[in-house]
Amino acid sequence: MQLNPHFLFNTHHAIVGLILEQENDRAIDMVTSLSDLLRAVIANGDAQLIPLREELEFVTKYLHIQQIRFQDRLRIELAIAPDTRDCLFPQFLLQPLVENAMVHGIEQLAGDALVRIEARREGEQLLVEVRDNGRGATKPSATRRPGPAPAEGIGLSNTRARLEKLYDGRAHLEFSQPATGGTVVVVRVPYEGKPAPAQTFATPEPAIV
Amino acid sequence: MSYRALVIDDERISRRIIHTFLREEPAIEVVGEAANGTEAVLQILQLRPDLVFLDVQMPELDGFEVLHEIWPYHQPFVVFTTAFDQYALRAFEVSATDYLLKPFDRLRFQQAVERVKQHLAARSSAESSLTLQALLTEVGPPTPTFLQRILLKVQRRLFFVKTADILYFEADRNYISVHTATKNHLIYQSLTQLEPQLAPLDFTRINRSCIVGLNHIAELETYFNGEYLVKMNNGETLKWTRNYRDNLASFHGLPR
Repeated sequence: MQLNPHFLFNTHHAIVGLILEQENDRAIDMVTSLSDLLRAVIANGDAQLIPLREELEFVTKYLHIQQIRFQDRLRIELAIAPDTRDCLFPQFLLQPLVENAMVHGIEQLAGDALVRIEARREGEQLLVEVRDNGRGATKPSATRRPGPAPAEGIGLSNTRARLEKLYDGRAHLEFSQPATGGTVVVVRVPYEGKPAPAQTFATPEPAIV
Repeated sequence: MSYRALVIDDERISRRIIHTFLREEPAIEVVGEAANGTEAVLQILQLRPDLVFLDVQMPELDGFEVLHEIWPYHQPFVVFTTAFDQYALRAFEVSATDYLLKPFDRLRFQQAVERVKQHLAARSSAESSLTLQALLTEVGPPTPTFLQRILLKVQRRLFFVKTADILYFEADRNYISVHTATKNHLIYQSLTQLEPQLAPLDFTRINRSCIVGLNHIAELETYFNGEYLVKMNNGETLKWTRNYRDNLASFHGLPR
């Protein structure tokens, strides 16, 4: 797992800005959020599967920093079904997808960028979707520059390779750019609960009849 | 003597940093700011600042494209501000006065401002600074030669299209749609700005929103009211309106 170095430098620059403005609380917020991110990257390097809840915490911290930077321009929506929170998900898989989504919106649109993360159970699968409102494959208008649809890029192929290695064909990544605009990336992994935690009490829970 | 500066960055906090640092520079007055490339081009052309602080990665047009768009009309001193160090070489190639890597502190910022002030002073004392002259002859009018190619950007890629390959230019609000046999591209310019830069024996204006490449015309067909239908080699048909009838001379290879 690597954080984009430019993300770090730009975040530092934003912290300098907050200090100059004497916005102490927000500067502190930014530094602590950044520390949390770095701590997670440094400490948990070898954990492969973690509860989705923890992965979302990491991504939320990342987005929180981006929101301070692009305060007026970045909108974030989360739709996380409660029964997915403890489901196992590959660590740090989501962050690069979210970063791509953010870059699509922020770099291509002069207006507001939207990043939406949705998680839900579909049968025996956990589905996590990252959606943005960037240019996607839509046609250029007077205010949008022309260009071919962006290719999936190397980032996604790494993610795919990682899913393949972890799940051996039982996980999928879909990339699409609907005609209505934006880019949607959907990750499906087997719906697997957290390994049972060590039992503190020997007595089993009473069965509900 | 006070100099006028424009601050261009898509992050508000970054723009504020420059504002704050400039408070201690009475010689420099911030006359405006822009949060994306298109806005930047408009502001530079309207406000004609002496100096711009320019971010590289921005929505719509990046910093280099902004310079490309404005350079023929106005040449401010440029200080790049970016977290990316890989653009430095290119920045100095396009005549940046300085290149500030984010994050930067007050001292480094002051050095950049000092450097710009020296250049500005040199320019006002001797208008014909060598570099500026060189730049003017390199890219901008008044140059007697006509455009041989047009710089286009698709995604992150910049490339040229030879003017000889262009079938016609069509105005599209603030943009021009550049039609070639294979593709159409948008450039941020007006036909009126573009027209004098094109070789008059190769291009001519046939209506208010269209400049046509004469070498790509298959035939002209007379139409009503002294108008003509222009049939292009690729099968498209354009209209040559009455108000531009005088330009027909160029079709006959005559000077207008």
